[in-house]
Amino acid sequence: MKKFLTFVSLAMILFAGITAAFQLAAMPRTYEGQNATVPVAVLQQNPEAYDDSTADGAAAAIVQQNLAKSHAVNDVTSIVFDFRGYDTMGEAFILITAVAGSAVILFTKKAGKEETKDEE
Amino acid sequence: MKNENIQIRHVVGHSLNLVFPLTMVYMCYIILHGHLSPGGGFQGGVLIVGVFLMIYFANGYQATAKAISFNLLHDAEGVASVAYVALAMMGIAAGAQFCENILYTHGNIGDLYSSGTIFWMNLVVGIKVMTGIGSITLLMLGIVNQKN
Repeated sequence: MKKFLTFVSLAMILFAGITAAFQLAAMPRTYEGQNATVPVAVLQQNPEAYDDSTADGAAAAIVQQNLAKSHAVNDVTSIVFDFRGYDTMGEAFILITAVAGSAVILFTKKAGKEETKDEE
Repeated sequence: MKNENIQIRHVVGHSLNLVFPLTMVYMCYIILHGHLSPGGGFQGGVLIVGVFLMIYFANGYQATAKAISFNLLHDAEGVASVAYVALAMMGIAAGAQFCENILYTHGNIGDLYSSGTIFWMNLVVGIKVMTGIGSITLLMLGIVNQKN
């Protein structure tokens, strides 16, 4: 019975993965470079031809929406501290745990050494 | 042997006096300009701990423990984490989502004081990382310099 259930669940996961792969392959591309000034094939041969004076495609959407929603020039900081601030809170609280853990380990080591001294 | 150590400490100490103010100003610049240029709270806070280590190399453990108090660092870390949560809860108090930026209209784009809560959270996380990693460093230096 156990083996049968395992086989059925694994088969279902495999089936879901295969269908998802086919559906993803059928989806249209998100960015095809319509607004790019230089086609991708030319860029591969001559990377210096890329015009980075103005952002295009997904980069333009990110920069303009970020400037409209939070007046921050640096996109990474606005993502870390605004749009994903909850994530940063967890990262910062890991530090408190690290300090508490190392304090517990190191202080008990100190106390243990003092106790052995007293016994001697 | 002892004389050599003292001579080395003189050299390192004088170079520390030369470099220390510039380094501190640059690290504070990295923290405060997190929303304008690469860098931010995490990076600047960790680099300030490098300055703590420079003080340790120049002056030894006793002077470092006198100058930088472990208990003060530990308390400041707690205060900074509470301030972060309070800044994040400001969004809920104003009727928006958790961590939502509600003060972003203050200041012009590109100014030092702009982008609302991003600036304040950046500063608070900088203080928090500096105090947290600084207290771990002080603890480990204390274990290394234990007299046994």
